[in-house]
Amino acid sequence: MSETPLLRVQGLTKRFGQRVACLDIDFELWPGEVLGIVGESGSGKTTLLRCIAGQLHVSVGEILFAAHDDIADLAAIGEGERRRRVGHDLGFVHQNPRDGLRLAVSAGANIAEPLMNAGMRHYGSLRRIAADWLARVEIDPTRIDDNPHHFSGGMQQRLQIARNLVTSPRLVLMDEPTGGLDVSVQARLLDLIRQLAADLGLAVLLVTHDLGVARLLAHRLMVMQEGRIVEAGLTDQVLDDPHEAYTQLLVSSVLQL
Amino acid sequence: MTPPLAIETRGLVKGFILHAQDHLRLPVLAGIDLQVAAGECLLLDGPSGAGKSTLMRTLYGNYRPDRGQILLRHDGAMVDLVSASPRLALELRRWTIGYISQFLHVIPRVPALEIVAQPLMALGTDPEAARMRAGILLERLALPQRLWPLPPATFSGGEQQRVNIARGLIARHPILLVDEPTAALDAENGARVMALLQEARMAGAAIVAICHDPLARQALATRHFNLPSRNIAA
Repeated sequence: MSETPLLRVQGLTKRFGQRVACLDIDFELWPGEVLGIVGESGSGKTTLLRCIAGQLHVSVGEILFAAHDDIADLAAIGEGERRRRVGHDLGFVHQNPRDGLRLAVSAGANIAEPLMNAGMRHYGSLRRIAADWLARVEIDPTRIDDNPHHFSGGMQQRLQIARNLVTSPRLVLMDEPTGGLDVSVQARLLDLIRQLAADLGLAVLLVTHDLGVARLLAHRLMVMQEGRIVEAGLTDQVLDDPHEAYTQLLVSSVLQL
Repeated sequence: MTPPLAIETRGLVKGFILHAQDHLRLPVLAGIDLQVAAGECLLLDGPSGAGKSTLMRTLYGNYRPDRGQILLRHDGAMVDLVSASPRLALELRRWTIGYISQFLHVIPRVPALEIVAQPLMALGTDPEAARMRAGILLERLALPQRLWPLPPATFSGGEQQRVNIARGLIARHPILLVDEPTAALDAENGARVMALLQEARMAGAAIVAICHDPLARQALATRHFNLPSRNIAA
């Protein structure tokens, strides 16, 4: 087992004016772990994810990310230094693939672009890697020159995942990655995410309001309510033996199949 | 030389609090002390509602006890599951303790062979080797080969249970918790499952089982542990 967590969040609080969106959040995430964050809309889970992604400034607290041989406090550094220190070690998969893709360029370019930003220039290599990744996310590589604008929602989501993983990040943040998809497409995507996370030893921080998705993907779970973590544990512990009143309510509200 | 202990519980207490029912308290396990050595199969006995399943799930860390210790032999030393970090608990489950539940809970769309091979791949075994071992187990459980590439969602109860048992045995955990392993099986398939569990035990696995089928009980048990019926009104 590796001896340092990839991510350690300590005392993270985020306020919007008077309103507290996240309060005193503490957790660790280790390489290869999928950590789910569940809770209702407005519980602060997406805000927490966006703080870690650097899309929002943290009011108080530390976000310690083990990048290369160094530990960077993402809450304390600016965007430029963040890019330099963290680089492509951190990916973000949006609920809506259109927020994470460039719809005006081809599928291949969507995958190659992060590599080009990282300095890779050889056209043949870029194209080969893009084709490989299309195949890995189960998109026909002959669609490499097609515009993702015309892809189905499930294909767009898989393309977004490829775009995020092509630079071999160590941590990927996912915000409701199966949110807008049909159930059959969801199942396929869940399996893909699980497989990629296991194969690549990725750490994933997964925000979802779907307890079924959490059960299938997450090793551990944190339950958020009104900006606080009210319960945490192994996924099956939290779902099968919930201790807190709120978690019991959440779990008992799910329709059983 | 007596075989080493694989499981030891000390003063295990577990109850439930139902917040939606005016914080109703349901005590279930009141101070369980049990020991299981390598190569033993301990059968949990007791009337329905005595807490057999609760004890099983608690031993796996699925239910969190209120008090007590669950010491498991892991990597040569006894480790307390109750106070283990989530990370250590996950490692214990990968390497040391397996749980064969009555029902299969897996991601839809994944082929049966992959479902069986996964726990072995999670230990770093080469995927091809893991699939090969999965095939051997499925063959011994007489699951027709034409089913291997299919997701088990549409399988019969007995077919699903055999997939589940193969998945539970493939990683050769030194501690196995087995809940009604033959419930959905006919006599012939039940015997196949018993043979595999017996082999695991002879190879040194410590097994804790819940089982109602009289034949299977006789074949499996080396010792019994009796859970007293409890007074629900407590």
